[in-house]
Amino acid sequence: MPRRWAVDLADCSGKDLCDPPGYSETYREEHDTKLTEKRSFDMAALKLKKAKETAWAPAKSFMMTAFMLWMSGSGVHPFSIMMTGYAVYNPINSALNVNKQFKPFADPKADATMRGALLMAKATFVVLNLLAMSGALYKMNTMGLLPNTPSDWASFLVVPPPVQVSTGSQISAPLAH
Amino acid sequence: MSGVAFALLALAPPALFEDQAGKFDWARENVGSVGAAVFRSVGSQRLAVVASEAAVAGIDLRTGGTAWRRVLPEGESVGGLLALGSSGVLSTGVAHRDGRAHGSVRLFSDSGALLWDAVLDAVGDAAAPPVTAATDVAIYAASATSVLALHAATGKELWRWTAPADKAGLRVAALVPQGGEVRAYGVLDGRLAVATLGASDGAPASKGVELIKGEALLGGAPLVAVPDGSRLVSLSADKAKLVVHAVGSGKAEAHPLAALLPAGAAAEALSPTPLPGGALLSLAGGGSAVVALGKGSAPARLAKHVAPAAAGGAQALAAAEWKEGGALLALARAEAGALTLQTCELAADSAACEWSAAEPLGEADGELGAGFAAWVGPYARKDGSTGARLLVRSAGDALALHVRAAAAAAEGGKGEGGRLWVREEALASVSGAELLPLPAIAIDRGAAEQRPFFGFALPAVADGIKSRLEALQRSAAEAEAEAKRLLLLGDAYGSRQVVVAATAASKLFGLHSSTGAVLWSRHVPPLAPGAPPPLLRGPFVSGSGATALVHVVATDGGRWAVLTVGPFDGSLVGERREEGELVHAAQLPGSAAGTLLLVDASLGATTHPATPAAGAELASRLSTTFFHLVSPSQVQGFGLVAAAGGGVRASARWSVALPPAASSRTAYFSHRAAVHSAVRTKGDRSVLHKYINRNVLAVGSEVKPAGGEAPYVQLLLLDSVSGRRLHSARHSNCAGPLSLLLGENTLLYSYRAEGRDGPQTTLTAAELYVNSSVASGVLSLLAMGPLDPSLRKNQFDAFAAPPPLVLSQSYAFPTSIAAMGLTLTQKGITPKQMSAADKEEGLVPYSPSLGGINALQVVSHRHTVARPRAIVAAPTVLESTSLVFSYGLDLFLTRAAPARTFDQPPPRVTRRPPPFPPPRQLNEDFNKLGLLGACLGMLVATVATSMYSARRDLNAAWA
Repeated sequence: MPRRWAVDLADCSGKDLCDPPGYSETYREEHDTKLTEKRSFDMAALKLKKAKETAWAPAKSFMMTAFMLWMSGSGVHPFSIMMTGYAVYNPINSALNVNKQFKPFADPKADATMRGALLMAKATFVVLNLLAMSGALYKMNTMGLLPNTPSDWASFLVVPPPVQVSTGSQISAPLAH
Repeated sequence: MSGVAFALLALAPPALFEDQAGKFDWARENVGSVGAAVFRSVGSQRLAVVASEAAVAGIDLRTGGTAWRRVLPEGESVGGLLALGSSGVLSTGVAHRDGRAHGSVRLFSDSGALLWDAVLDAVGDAAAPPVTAATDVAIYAASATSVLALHAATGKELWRWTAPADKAGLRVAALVPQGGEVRAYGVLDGRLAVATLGASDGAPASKGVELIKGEALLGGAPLVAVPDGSRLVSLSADKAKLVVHAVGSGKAEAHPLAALLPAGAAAEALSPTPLPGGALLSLAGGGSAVVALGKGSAPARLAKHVAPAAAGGAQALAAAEWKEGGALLALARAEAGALTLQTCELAADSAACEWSAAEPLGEADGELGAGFAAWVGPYARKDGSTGARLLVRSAGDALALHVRAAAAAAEGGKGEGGRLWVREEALASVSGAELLPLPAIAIDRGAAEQRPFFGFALPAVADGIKSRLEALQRSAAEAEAEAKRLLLLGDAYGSRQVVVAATAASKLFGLHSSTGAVLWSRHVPPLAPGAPPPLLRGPFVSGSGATALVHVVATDGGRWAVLTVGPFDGSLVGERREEGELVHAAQLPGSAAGTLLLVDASLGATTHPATPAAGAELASRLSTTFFHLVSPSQVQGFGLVAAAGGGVRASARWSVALPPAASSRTAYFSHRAAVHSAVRTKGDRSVLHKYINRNVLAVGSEVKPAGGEAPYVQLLLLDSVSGRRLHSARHSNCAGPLSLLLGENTLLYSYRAEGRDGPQTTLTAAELYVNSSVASGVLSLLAMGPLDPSLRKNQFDAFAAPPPLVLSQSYAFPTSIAAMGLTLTQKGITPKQMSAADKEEGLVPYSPSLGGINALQVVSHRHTVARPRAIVAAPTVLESTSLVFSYGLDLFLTRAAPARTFDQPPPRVTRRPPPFPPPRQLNEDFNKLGLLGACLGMLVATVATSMYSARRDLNAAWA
């Protein structure tokens, strides 16, 4: 009967290189398969999580932007114009570059569910940016910078030239006629 | 409703900085048409104290400058001046108060201080100034039936006498203080009457008012007391006898003039000028005669006869007290282009005197030839001979001092033919004015090329020294010519203009808008020999730039003429004379050629120029051309139709009655005024459509109903094409003075409201809007696009347009308003209004008072602009700026920038000759290259930093 704690280092059972003591080929194969599967699953979830965080980022900065816009006042001054300009430009720029923003989170091996979730994140990102931009547009409106009232198009209403002309004189007594 | 239109001189936006005072504005003080003058001496200064209807002034005889001036209250006029030894000068006149005429007496010191004044009883409708007489302690003044004694030093009333009720028809016309009595002579029932009053208490003698036996007197003829108070002279009712009354006697003797005057001569009037022992008569046909009354019972005889002036000439006879109770007679003649003076010294008994040889006093222009008045101021020369200064007021109201040529140099004058100075007093009666830019010549361009870049001063200093040296090398004549040349140069911004003014003295002027200098003047003589001075209408400007012309229509009731003059030199370009009475003269609005429409009393219409082209222009516009005539009782509207026999006739279309017993004023909105916007933006950025009708006529009437009813002010807005009444308002218990101003859709008028706390000047602003059928939504406007003004439906048709909606509010104003004007700018973008609610936060609550006038808003700053009558404005090339010209007794011109000078950066020092202030506009001083460079630099910097930033981001990504 072989001894329990005895290892024959020369017994390689036909392999070029012997296995280390305690190494079980069967166990390794079973364990590696599980690990790989788990790691793959974690990375996709992480990307999706990050994508969602990116999608909601405009909402997080919205309050700060709104506060800055409020602080800049409703007068038409260089500072308030600059603030409002940035508040309009940045969401538009972000919304137009949505694919670039979400490119790190795209996974070509992702399944339909994952792709749908990413698309949803992109849509959220665009909507929230538009929401931020609408706040800036409201600010522009309060500043009177939006041509959305009839007075902004008053140049379409020309001063009517007179069809008839009349001139007058003063006389000392009514004219008999 | 919130908008209140203001364009008053007093309420223009923040006026000017201290160092700008006098650089963009000028004022000219006038006295007016002089009606009386006396010569005075104040220390070493010699003055002529003169009086016009509006003012009393002391004029320095050396320079012609105004030493002092006292403008009389509105409604008061001076009729005569009386020199009172060392006390000063007494003025007598008429003051209109509460609808009645009162006699007015004022004593001025020789330095111009008003020592005292007094108002006499109502003198009735005749409104003759009171007669006065003075002693050392008292001054007696009489008007109508009463005599007033005033303390000579204090003006305190000593006593007052009024004719008894049964002698209420007495009109006191002469006062003779003698001993302890004052005799008040007057005319009662055509007879000479006298009341003898105690000099100390005014107690009448027991006889009361006595009638003097003698001839019936000529109504309205003066009673003239000779200076020693011994006799009283008047003219009989048939003008055939000289009536002489020895003071203290009970009768008046009549001296037939036929026996005294040369054959064929007849008396026309008795001159109120007192002569020692004689009387001065004006003769029919233009001559004069001095009648010596003779001492005691000696018969009267002709002392001097002055033949009428030769045809085309004029003459004036003046007299002044002179040595030993005598007088100096002066005869000035303007004939054959020369003014000459002859004098003779009348003794105390008016014995015959001999005329001195005629001495030249300088050239006589057409103005003098048309008639003049003269006052003589005699003085003793060092050699004991008698010298004479002659103050002359021409038919064109030019006041000039003439002395003999030899004396001219001694007086310090240039000896210009004996005329020391001249004052254009016709400028106090401007009736109409137009401003037009002087032709711009590229003088600035040459200066700009020499201007150093970025302010290196050395070349500029060298330039300045060089120009100063050149100026020093010029002779006086060359320097004057150069200054005149520079004065007539315009600028690229249209701020140097010529003011062409027509006056009530039948005289035209060209004034420089920058300095107020008189560039030229032209007197319009009577249109026919013996005809009255013509009334000038206009001026009307046609053309532009260097080719502009000015037309003036002169009328005298029986004839009319159109004079065409060059606006920059006053040269007469053309003259057209016609017979007939002209009732309407105006420039056809919108006429490119500046055609005038002229309508005579028989309603025949013609054009000026009377060319086929002008006729065709009028014929093509017959159906759209209208005119109206405003008389005290009604407004009549007329259209034009083709006459049966060719030509054009006016056809009556409508008339509107004005309130009876009213005095009315009118206001128009100029056809030429630019209007930028058809809407008014409210606080919430919605719009109100303006009612822009250039044919609106505003008539304001001050009504004083008979029967004790309260007076009221009525305001009427009429469409002068259709005669439709657009708006009317009646303000009960209100009275004048009434001022009106009509803007593009705004009516502003002021009047006096009789409140519980006394009269209060009230300003009412009415804005006219209209319900427009044009879309008012943004999307609708965008879909519609810009309106095409050439389409009839987008034009203003007086017969189809809906009536306006009127929004009005009234405000209390701190001072009375004499005249109002509206600034005009080139494009009409610059606001003409000062709105009370122009903030977007919301409407400002209505406040019944406009508060006080901020001193910083008074654009006339240190000047007193007396009795303004009207304000006219003219645009400049700069949209922000318009020239505002106010005329009345005084003239004032300034630049107004209602929205501040938004198109004018702060000035830099410029090199210009003294008459022209440095222009404050976007001129050649502005560094346009620098601005362009800065913009390009910013662009390049933006692109470069963007590229650098992108590269850095890329590198950071690869790192």
